[in-house]
Amino acid sequence: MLEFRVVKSYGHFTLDVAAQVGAEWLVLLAPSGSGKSLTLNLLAGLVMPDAGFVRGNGRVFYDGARGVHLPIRRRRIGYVFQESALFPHMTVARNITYGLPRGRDPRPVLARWLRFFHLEGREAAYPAQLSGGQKQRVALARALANEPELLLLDEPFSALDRRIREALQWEMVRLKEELSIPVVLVTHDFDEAQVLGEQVAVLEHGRMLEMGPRARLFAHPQRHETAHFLGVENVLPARVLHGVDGTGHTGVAVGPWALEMAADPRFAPGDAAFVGIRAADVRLAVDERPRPNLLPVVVSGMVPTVGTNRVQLVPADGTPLGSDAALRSDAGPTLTMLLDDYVAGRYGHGPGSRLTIWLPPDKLFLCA
Amino acid sequence: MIADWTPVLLTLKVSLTATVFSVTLGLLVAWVLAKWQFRGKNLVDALIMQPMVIPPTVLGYYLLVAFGRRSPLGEALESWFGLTLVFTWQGAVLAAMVASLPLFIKPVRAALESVDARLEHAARLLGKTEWTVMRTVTLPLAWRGILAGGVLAFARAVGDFGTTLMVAGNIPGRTQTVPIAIYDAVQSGEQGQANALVLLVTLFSVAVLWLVSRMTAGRF
Repeated sequence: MLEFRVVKSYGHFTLDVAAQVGAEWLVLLAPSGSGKSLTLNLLAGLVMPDAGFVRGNGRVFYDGARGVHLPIRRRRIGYVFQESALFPHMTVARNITYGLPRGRDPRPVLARWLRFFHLEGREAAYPAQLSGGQKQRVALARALANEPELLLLDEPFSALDRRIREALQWEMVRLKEELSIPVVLVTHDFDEAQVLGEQVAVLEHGRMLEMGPRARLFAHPQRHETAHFLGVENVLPARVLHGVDGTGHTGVAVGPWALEMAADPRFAPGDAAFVGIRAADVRLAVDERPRPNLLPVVVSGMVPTVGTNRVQLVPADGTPLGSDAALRSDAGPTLTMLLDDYVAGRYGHGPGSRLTIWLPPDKLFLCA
Repeated sequence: MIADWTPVLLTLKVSLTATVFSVTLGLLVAWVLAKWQFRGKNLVDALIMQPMVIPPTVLGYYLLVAFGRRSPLGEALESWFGLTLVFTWQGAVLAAMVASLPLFIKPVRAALESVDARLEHAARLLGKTEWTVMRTVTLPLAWRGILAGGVLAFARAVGDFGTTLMVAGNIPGRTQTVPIAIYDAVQSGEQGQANALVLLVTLFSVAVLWLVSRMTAGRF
C-alpha cells in the first residue's frame, strides 16, 4: 500500500498530487511538463517535497509536518528512469546484482531476471553494447532483483521505437502477474495506460484532474479535459434538456441535435456540460429503423489512414455544433467518426456526401 | 651530464609527498565543492584558487608568516610533532602542496560534477550508503579526471620555485630542489649542470602533458 500527498513549488508551477495505491498498477497519465516525473522524484525522495506525506507499506517515507525524511536507500524502491541510467562501467550481470546485500548468492537472482527479460547470453556485455530495449530490460531487472516494496517507472518506454515499446509492454503484462506490490508508472501515452493501468490518474499543470479504475475512466471520464486527454475525439459543448426519466435516460442538446443518453445524476436540466463519444463508437446507420440519436450529417473532410478513414461530419442543416471557443474537439466544430476503407469506397462516400449516423446512447457520456 | 643528482632525488621526494597530501585533501575539497550547496561557496572557491593567480613569492611569504617558528601554528607543530617547516624539506613539501592544490581541485571538481546524478540516485535507490555510492559509482566514473588532476599537481609540485624558496630556502642537499638548483647553477656559472637539469625538466613536462591528454580520452 502506497499513500501520499506531495506538494512542491517552483516559481509559478505548483505540484499538488495525492493518491492511494494498493498492490496494483497506477498509471499517472499526463502531457509532458505537467509534473508527473517530479511526482515520482518526490515519492522516492530524489527531490524533497515542500509539504505532504508519503507512506509505503505502513512505513513513513516522508512527513512534512513531523520533519521526517527517510534516506533514499532505506525506502526499498525499485526505480526505472526514462533512459535506463545503467552503470556504464559495469556489466549487465553486475548492474543487475549491484543492489543485492553482501553475502547473498547473486546467481539464482541473476538467472531468474535474465530469463524473465530474455537477456541470457548478454550478462557480460556493457550497457554501451546494448540496444535501447535491452537497456530498459536490464534497468527493470536491476530494480526488481533488489525485491523492492514499491516500483516506480518513469516513462520507461518513451525513448524506444514503437515495435520495441509494444514488445516490452507484453513483458510488463507478464510482470503484472509476478508482482504484488504497488507500481506507479508515469507516461504520456494513453495506449500504455490502457494496457498497463489498473488505476489511472490524469494530471494537468501539477494537479490531478481525475483518477479512477481504468475501464471506468476510459469509458466515462468525468471531466472534458480528461476525456480530451484520453483521446476521446468528440467532446462537444452541450446543454442538459431534461432530467432522469422513467427509463434512466436523459436528454441533451448539442448544436441542432437532441440526444438521448444514460442519465448522469451530477447534472440537472439547464446545466451546461460536455458530451463525449469516441470516433470509433460513431456508427453509420445502415437502416432507417426509427430510434434515438439518428442524425443526418454531411461529410466536411476526410483523412485516410491505414484501413480506415477519419471522417469529419457537420449537421446536414448547416447549424454549427457549438462556438469554437467552447470546443475541445480535435477537428473544430465537427464530429469525427471512423469509416472503413471498403465501405467508403463501395458507397462512394467522400467530402460532400450526405450520411445518416447513429450515436449509441450507451457510448455517449456527459462530463463537466 | 648531471654532476649532482641530489636535487633531482630531493625534488622527487618532496613532490611525491606533496602530491599525496594534495590528492587526499584535494579530493575532500573537490567533493564538497562539487556535491554540496552552501552559502559563500564562491568565496571559498576563490580562496582555494588563489595560489594559481597570486605571485608565488607572496604565497610563500604568507606561509612563512603562518608557519614560522614564532607563529602560533609553527609553535604548535614544533611542540606537538617536533616538526619545523621553515628551511626544511617538509617546508618544501608544504610549499609545493599549497601551490599544486588548486591544479588538482579544478579538474577533479569538474569530473565529479560531470557524473550523471541519476546514476548516483540509482545506487542510493538500490540501498547503498553515500560512501558506497562514492566508492562504486562516482569515483570509478570520475577516475580519469582524478588521475589527470594528480599528474598536473605532481608536475606543478616539481616545478615550484618562488614559494619553495621563500619557505624552505636554498640549502644544497636539504632544500635545494631542481628549479632552485638550476637558478643556483646559472648564478654560479655552472652551465653544464644547468643545461642538463633544464633538459630533464623539459622532457618531464612534455611527458606529463602527453600522459594527461592520453588519459582524457577513452571508454567511459
